[in-house]
Amino acid sequence: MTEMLEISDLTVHFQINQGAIEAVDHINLTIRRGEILGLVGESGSGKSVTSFAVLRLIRPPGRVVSGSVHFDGIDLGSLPAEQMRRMRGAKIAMVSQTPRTALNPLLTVGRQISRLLMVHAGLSTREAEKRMLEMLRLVRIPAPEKRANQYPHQLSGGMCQRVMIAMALATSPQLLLADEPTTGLDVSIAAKILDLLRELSTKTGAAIMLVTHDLGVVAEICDRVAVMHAGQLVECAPVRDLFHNPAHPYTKALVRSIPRVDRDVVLEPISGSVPSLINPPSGCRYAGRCEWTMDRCRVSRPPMVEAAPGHVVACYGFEERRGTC
Amino acid sequence: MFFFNYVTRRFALALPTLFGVSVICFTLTYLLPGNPAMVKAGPFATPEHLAEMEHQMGLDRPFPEQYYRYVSGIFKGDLGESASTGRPVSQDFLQRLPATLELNLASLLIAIVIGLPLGVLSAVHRDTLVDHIGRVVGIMGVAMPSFLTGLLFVYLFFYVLDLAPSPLGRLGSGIEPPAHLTGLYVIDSLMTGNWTTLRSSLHQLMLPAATLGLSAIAPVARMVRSTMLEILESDYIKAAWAAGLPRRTVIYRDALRNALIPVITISGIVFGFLMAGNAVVESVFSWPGIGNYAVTALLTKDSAPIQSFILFVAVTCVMVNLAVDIAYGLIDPRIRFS
Repeated sequence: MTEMLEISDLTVHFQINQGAIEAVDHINLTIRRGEILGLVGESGSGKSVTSFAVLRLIRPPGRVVSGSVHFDGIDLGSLPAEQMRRMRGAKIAMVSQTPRTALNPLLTVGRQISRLLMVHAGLSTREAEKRMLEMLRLVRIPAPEKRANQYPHQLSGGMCQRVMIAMALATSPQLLLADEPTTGLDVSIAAKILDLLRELSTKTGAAIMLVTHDLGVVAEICDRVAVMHAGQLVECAPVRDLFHNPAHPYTKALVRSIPRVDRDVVLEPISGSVPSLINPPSGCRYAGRCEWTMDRCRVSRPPMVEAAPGHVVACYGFEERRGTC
Repeated sequence: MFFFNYVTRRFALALPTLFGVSVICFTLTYLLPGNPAMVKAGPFATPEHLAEMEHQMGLDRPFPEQYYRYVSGIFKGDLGESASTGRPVSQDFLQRLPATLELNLASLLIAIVIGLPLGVLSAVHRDTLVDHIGRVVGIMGVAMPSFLTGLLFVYLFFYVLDLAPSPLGRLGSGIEPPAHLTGLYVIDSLMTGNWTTLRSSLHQLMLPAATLGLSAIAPVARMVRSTMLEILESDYIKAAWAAGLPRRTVIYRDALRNALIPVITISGIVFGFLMAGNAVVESVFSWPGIGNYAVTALLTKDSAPIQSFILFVAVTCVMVNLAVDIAYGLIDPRIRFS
């Protein structure tokens, strides 16, 4: 059993007056130990919802309609609430996409880290402080003794993100859910944060699920990539494979939309926008935007098929063309 | 040091407000119909006598000069003289102030002790039975006029159930007031260990404080609820859940502490509101405070006490706001260090 996280058939709906928003639709996904998996898609494709579902933090009007999440062989869905709470932060930690607002404004950053150590690792105040300073050093915050006594509003955005990462890693979790960890940071800081994540993952052996809409970020640090569109998983492949041989038309379009400096190419935006997820059509949700659309794409959902070893894709058009080329 | 500057700045900002208040308060009474000299001189005064009286009282001087005399009087502690008691208003006020403070503080305490948990429960159990009950209780408290709740309470708890004493003043008959320390009977008797007086003063305070407090529960509870709802949806609370902090910590430490800032604001507003509302309750319960004094003055057209009451309420509001600003700084590091 090498799978650390196994998401099977996960479906999440949000009930609103006009009907159900089908935010995540029958997703299957696995993450191995020490692996960095990129979860990519446009805004509103269900990436963040998936990571909240892993932590069992979908709250009304949201609801997990079907599926299961196994972590280290344990079915998280059947865990009693209190045990699930002990999982969060201790075994599965999260780094939020909004470092500035995800820290409590009324507590010093040091205290926010050390209290987690007290709650999850049962450390004494003293031990927790010591370990907290170690963590701040680990994420390369200069003058940690001084920073620990400051409040979030006194720190820069990049600094807050480092604190968030220190907080997430303080309890040595086995899985880190990083939700757009570099949004809102300028490029050089973002690069440093990514290096840090990669390095810490190698050092501590933690797996990372990196939720992002930025393929550049994915190319930089991920081992494997899963592409989501409108709540559905359309393709999943090792990172090189995905960039060189994208199989799904949506992935192809995403790859084409990356700006490049080495070649003179015209950027192609993806036509159309993410379809409404309120009572969506039963077939492939990309059908309305796709150049390959056939009749059956609109009727039934294409199954996941293997395009290459370790590379799966859900597309009728791909299956059709595979024989010919 | 930051904090000291902050407090000084707040103080400086309160001064123009106080100046404005004194101008408005003076102008209002200046414009009121009726001649104070006529009240003082009596109904049978001759025109000469009246003119003499006006001159004595300075009423024939131009408006700015009269205002100047009024303000310098205030600084010397001279608030004028009450026509009905014949004593300086400042003396009457000082004597009655502790009674009012005791009643208002007790009401505020009731409003917070009930309103705060009610608001938290309503937010945490949003749209459930708890929330609906909280809403109904709150609306009833606001909608019922204080004189009516007061009378109902007296009828129910004094007349029918005999749980409360007769609604006449701050102490039961035959009970000596405690040694004067703060003037608040409950605190004074606690400090001097005078248990009989403590019991009696609490007993007397119970109904008026409940009446006044009831009207203030709703604003507190509603404010706590809406702030809590907003904060429970915030990123740092989501992050706190995701970090596996226990429910108690997330709700009562992280969320509630952040919600306290608006709660302090509303407490300040409520205190000012109680200051004005207590006149009615003091009358119903024959409470010897300044509200009762002002109502009596109003009925006898005694202008100096009315003027002083308005000024006093306004100054209290300014002071409470100042205290609120300082409390913000104590709670919120973003203000303390900016």
